[in-house]
Amino acid sequence: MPPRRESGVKGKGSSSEETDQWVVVLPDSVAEKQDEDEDRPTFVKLLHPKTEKGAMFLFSKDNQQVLEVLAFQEEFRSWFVGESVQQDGSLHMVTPVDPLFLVLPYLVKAYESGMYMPIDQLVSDGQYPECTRLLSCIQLSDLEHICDVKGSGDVRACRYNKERTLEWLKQKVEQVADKLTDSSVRVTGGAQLLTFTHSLKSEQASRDDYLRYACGLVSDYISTDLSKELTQHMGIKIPEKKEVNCAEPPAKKAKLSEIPEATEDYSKFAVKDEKPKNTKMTAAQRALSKVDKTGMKSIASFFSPKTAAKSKKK
Amino acid sequence: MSVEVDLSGVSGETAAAAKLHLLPCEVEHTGPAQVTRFFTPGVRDSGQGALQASFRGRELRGENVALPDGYTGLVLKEKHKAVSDEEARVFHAAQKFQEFTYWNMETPPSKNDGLQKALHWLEITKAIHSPVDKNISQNGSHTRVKVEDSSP
Repeated sequence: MPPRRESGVKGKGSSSEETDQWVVVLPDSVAEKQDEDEDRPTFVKLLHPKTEKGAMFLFSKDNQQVLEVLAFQEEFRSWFVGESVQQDGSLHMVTPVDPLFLVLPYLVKAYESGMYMPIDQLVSDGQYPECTRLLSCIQLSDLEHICDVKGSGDVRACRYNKERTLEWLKQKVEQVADKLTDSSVRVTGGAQLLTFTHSLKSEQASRDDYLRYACGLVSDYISTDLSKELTQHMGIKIPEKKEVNCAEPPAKKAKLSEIPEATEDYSKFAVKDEKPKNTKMTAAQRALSKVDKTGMKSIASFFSPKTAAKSKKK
Repeated sequence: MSVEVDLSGVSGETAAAAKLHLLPCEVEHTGPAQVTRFFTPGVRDSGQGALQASFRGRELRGENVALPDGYTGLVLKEKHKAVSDEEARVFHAAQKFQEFTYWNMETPPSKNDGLQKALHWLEITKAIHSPVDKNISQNGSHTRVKVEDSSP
């Protein structure tokens, strides 16, 4: 699985566990020394297009690039750094993000008005004021992937265009699917859709499998609505959980068998099954449940063997 | 409330290469420790890059993990805590690394460890975020037009 997404800038005084030291991995270009007159790389909080909450991003020097910050975190890990211990064993990974993903929510939101607006008016946010930095990461020509652009020279007005966006996302998905194919990430197996394992055996995954998996990865950077439209647009079928071929997931089975009671005692499952049923009554069912049913036979009794019906009468 | 990164400490040849170990346990302490005196002497190479060590009486299995090409590791430190919210916070890059040692408990590190997957993510993510290189396709009237060369 992709690493956990970091939410929020650390050190706003919210958490007492925060450390004043991070171990990070980032692209060479960002780690290069900046000249004195250049802006330093800066961590800021921006609106995350999928979660619609604040998340931490890094702008490289002079806002040339925007990068997301993900943390690889496992339970029970600490670092030795030189001659010291760092209790927090997370490895922060800072990787470039396509800035178009990050401006997209603003464009979609403004589309409701139907008006063409200059891009710097579109991308402004009182809650995440730093979002204006995104504009210097974006080429004007790239904006044409996600919106209609009117005007020329410095005076350009934009309006979100869904068809273009879906087409752009489709190309993204294909690009990712190609990459996955090249790097032999295992993508088959319904429920394991988002596991991230290397295929040791050369299992034959179809192009569809790769596309579906890639679509899942791209969907991490767009809203749920847009993700649904994208799967439709590309004709990708997300398999329902029940169709999952049970031959594969050994991990879950292993866990189940660790619960000693569960192996034989099926009645417990039966009880569990009934609970959600009761809560999911339709309005008609609820009305019906209030009706006085004394003297009424259950419909089921007409179809069950007589012995069963007898036992019910008791 | 942004956090700036000061890279001046790791620029050029003077950058101190840090030796990092990612331990398979949580040490409830942050601060100085005599790592090279008590931990590193016990690290043994058991062949083919497989490392063994012991920590607090437990056997550890590890390997050196190199960062993927194009990536650099940094240890960022905040030297002075910002007193108020307005004050800009600055993290100083204290050390640089290109590899670190990854430790598991008894099981030797494998390709299916979370860390390996996380490092693999560094590759996959490039495909997600690199620009789409094809031209904008059929369904827009604004298809990009190549500027014709005006020379005869």
